Amino acid sequence: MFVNPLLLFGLAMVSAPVIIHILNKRRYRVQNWAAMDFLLAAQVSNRRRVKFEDLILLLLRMAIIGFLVMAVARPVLKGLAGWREDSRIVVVDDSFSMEAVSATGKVFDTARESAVSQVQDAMGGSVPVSVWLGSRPESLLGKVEGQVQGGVVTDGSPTGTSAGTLASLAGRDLLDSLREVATSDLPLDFPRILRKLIDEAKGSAAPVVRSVVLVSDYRRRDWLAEDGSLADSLEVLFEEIKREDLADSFNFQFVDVSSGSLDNTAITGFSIESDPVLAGVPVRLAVEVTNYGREPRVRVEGDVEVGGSDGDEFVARHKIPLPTIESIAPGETVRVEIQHIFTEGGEYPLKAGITPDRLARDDESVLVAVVRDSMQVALVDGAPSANRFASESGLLAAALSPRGDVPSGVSVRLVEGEIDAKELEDADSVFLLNRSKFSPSEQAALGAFANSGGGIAYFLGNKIDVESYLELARPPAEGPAARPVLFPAILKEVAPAAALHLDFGENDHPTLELFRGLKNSSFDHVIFRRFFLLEPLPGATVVASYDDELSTAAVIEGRYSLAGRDASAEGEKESAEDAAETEGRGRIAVFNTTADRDWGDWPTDYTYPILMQEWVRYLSRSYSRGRVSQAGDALRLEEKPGVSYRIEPPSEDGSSEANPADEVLIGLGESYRPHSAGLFRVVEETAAGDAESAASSWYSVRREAGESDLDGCGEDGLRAALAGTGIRFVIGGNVDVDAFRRDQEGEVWRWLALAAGVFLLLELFAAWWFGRKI
Amino acid sequence: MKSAGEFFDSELIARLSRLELVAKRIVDGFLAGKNKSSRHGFSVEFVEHREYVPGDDLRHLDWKVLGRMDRYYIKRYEEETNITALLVLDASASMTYGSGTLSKFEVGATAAAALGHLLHRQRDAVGLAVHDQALKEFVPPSAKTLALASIAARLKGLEPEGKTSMKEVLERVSLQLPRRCLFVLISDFFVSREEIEATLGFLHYRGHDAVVLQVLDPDEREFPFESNILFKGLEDDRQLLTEPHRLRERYLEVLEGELRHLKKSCEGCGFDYQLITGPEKISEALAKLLAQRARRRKAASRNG
Repeated sequence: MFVNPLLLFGLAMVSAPVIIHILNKRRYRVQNWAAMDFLLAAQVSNRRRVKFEDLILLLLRMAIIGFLVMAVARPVLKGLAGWREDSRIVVVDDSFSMEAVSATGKVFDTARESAVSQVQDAMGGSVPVSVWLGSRPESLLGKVEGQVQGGVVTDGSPTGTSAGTLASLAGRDLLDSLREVATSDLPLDFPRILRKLIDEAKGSAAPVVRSVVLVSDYRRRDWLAEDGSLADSLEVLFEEIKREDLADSFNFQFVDVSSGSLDNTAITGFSIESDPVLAGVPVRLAVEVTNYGREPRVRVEGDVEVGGSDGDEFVARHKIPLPTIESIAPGETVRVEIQHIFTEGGEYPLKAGITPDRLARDDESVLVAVVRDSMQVALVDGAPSANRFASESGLLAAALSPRGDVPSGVSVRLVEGEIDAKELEDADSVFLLNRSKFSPSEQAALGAFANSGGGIAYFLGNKIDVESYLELARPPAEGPAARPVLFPAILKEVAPAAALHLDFGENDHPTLELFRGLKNSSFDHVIFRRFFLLEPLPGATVVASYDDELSTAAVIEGRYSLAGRDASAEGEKESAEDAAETEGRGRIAVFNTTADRDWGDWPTDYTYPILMQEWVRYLSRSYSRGRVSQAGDALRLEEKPGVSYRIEPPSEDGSSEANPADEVLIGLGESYRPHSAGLFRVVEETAAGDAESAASSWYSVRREAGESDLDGCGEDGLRAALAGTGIRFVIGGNVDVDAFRRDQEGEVWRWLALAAGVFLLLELFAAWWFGRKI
Repeated sequence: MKSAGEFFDSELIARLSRLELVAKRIVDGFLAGKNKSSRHGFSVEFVEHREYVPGDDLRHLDWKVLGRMDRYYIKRYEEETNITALLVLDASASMTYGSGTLSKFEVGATAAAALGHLLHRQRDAVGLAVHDQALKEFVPPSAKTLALASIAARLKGLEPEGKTSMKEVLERVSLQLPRRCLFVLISDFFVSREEIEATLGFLHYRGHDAVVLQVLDPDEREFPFESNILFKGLEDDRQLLTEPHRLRERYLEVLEGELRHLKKSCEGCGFDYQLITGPEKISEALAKLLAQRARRRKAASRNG
């Protein structure tokens, strides 16, 4: 098989030496000579040797021409042929870790140059080439197909519109795009790109060989599992390549541009510990700093900047220094906290920063604090009473919002009659006190409330209709009433009367933080006389139990999206959990007692109001959490008819001043997934375009903390991990751009050219040895 | 062709005049000179005594010795005499070859003229024989002054041609020479080994002395040709198309073999041999030749 078979006609040129030899015989000059006897005597004895030498020289010259013609015809011998390349896919790792700076410059700059070389080489060889960004596999950066004639157009307008010119223009655009690419704050997602390529290969009828070139820093956490084997996400795909007999359809070239240095310290956590944040109530802001390097980091200083609650740009109103971290050992995470009081309700953008190092972007983190004037609690009393201190709601309202100079930050509202969604609209949590049963509409209202992040607390009592509560715990999985569970336990019968105490175990629940380490508190002496036997649903947590023989659950905590649903509801479950994480808690708590003194003496103890307020804080929806998301995830924007959102991303230089060119408009039903971290300003825009009244909000987007870990898997480690996959690959820091095409030709033409060179040397030597002119 | 006068290179002759041309063998002469006669005479110089034997001429009896010692001794004398030299020049076609300004024939003629002039100054009789296959010109040896002019005149206008045949020519010439002579053979000697051996053997058998001057062109000695050449024979129709540089080594081997054979043949006959390669080598070759002959004369004198 030859790449240029027509050139084989050139083999006729092997006769050239013979022809030249014959023609040479015809060209001579005449010389009269006296000593003919001697000349003829010499000729007689020399004739055989001369003929032999002539034959050898002729054969050598014919071989030289033959080898050269064969080399130009480029034979491909199946036995020797290496890798073929029909198209090249260049994947540039633009993940956050590529932002690291080494002694020779930014790692990503090196990667970009390498990718440009790969693209130019492919275009030079008329190999179709496409470029992907490793952290953003959802879209292709560019593609060039067809033969690029006359090189890539660098400037000016093309004079024609031939296919070659169009390819050249596409090449120029692609190279321009590639040179302008910047890193994202997303992790490398090579598996998704590989998934697409495998699907494409499986759907392709023609046997196309794709050369996949990945230019990356090859971080250990992207490629290897804990035991050094290949990461599961990749191993599965490589196994599929092998299983689907696609190994011959792929060449892999892994170009490692890592700097080799691991030193990096990053802010890996920035949170508000006293959530929800209430105006006038002290909150703790926690910053976690992790040392990913191999040397201790000493004297790390930093601060937290608190922006104003108004304005479109981040302007630091307060700058609070962080406690100096004297030393952070390799691999260690150190947490420091500061306390701050937001005097007014509103939104506050926050920035935490430490002394910058070689990867400066992760030395800063952002947060949005949504400060509420108070928490709204809806009390639904199943047995209301006019006596304020006799009814459950009365006692609880007094406990949650006591009168006095020190505000609890809790506002209580009694809900009477049927529960509907409107009544729960402004509530952060709802307490259901000895409520016997719930109508379907109430269940729907409570479900919507929990789904939006609101917390629900049940106090049981003698009015409880067991069947109704079982229905809450075991809702139908299908039909109009299908929904997640609203009650995290199976309610059984009322236990026999006794005098029991409540045991909170190790007091490690967030609501018990005030009691942590407290010995012989009065709470230990509170008597509970009646209670239901409860069986927690799978996934529910028993926060406290009675000290009876069965250790009956006294307080159970669950989630609105609690298990009990089958796999068919997986999507809904994930959605609900996602909602709970991002927009609110969706927590559900069951207190296996009454809120008054009917079943126990707890309301008379001083711990009652404290614990109840803590539970309100714990169950209430979090407004700040909804403003925190991770790069790559969609911003949680509330869908409002007639409202679209204008999103102003942070500028690339890290300042909060947005570049209008980067603004994105999101309509109804659309989502926005930022690929960079920072503070985003989101402005609501109505159809009428009333910009003045448009509401705006801050959203903080963060990167995955692990992206700051620069530990590489190394060439040997990666080679060992890939060894068993059966794929064809080359690894190196400086892999030749034409590695595939060179192997594609099986080196045969090079060997032929080498043979021609060797034979030429032999011919020169033989000619010299035979006394011929060279 | 050069004029007769041009053959007498004054510088060449001046150099040669400083040396003596002395025949190795004693030949009969009739003019007083420095060459020893082959016969012991009675005229000039006593050499030795020997005892009388019956038949000796009583005129040579030394009467003083007889009176003193009562013994019969005969006195012996040595008489210096001139030689008869014949310059034999090859004028076959092979002598026309010349890579420089002069052909081999012209080089040979120059050498012959130089030797003739020198011999004449010594009052030796000098003659000339020019030949190819046959004798083309012949000037009998003479010590007269006109002999040189006659030789020069005969050399003028000669065109070398034909093949070479030496023995027959020398046999014929020798019939016209009454005594033993010094033959100066000037040729390229491109003849068979048998011809060479027969020629030199004939001269040796007849008691002649000979000097062999082989004239070759530098091309024939070095064979410096490179590109394809068709060599055409000068004395016959043979020709050869070849790449000469590939034959050079073998050709030079063959040539050296022939030169060695000629020299050895000369030494076997007691003749002197000298090679002349080109006109600029004439002086050097003749000087070497005369020095060689002088050494031989001294050696012969020591041996009695």
